[in-house]
Amino acid sequence: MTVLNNLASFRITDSDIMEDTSTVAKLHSILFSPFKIDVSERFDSAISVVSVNAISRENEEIINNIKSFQFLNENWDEDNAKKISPISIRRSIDIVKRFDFLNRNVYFAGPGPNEEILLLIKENSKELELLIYPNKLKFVKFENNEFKSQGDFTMEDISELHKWAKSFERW
Amino acid sequence: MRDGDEIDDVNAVFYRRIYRSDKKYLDKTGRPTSRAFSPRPKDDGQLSVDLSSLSTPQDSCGDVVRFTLFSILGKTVKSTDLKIIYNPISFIQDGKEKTNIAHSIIIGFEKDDESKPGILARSSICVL
Repeated sequence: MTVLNNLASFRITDSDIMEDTSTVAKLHSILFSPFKIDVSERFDSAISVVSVNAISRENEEIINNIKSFQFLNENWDEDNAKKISPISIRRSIDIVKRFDFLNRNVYFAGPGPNEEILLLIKENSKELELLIYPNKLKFVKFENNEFKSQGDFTMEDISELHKWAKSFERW
Repeated sequence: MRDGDEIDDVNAVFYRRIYRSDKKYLDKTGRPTSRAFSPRPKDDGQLSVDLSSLSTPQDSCGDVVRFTLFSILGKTVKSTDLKIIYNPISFIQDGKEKTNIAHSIIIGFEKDDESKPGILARSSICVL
């Protein structure tokens, strides 16, 4: 199978079975972010790379929306909101791409008054708020509109947060 | 009721004015985001609301093209361990001094606690 980038290509042979998702993630980072790898086929514990697709249309719209936040000036909400930090914008786009890689569409992106960006992940009764500040990343979990938990997160935690949103409710 | 008194009536209703232009503070369903209930830098950890019994939706909202109005119950605010303080204010608008006798502030937001704005947003009801 040939994996193509805009500038380069290389071949993955039948023997190049990816042993874990971190290997796939490394490959993804090599490939340049607008692309993602579909890891839908599994053989026992191994994962096979089967295709390379462009970022989803939904996440592309979210990214374009986030980019537009750079044009919000001080007091953009007529209530003294601060200008959105370019660091928040850059990090938010990176996070959307990470979720896209996990085949997850970000439901909503909105600016906040304190330089931050809100990313909302929704699945059935679960909602995950990600708050991207220039100097910190926070998550808040809600289920059935009730607060569940909150904390700090790093880019390495996104897979776990994605799993929480995806998991079935336990009764 | 005097300036600085705590409003502990769980049945009291409070209005929160939210910027509606471009729907930056409203999600796809029209629900306000948690950011609409997050204190501003200028407010030093306090969130401005109006006590509904001393106002009208029209007065609290002002320009309905630029703003929308949501209500929250005193019970909801108290359940999050926040407090509501009566805080009437005077301000200059269009060159004239005006008074908002319904103005109140929600206090008690902790710097690293991101849950409370989300809880308030999810409990709010659209008024105008």
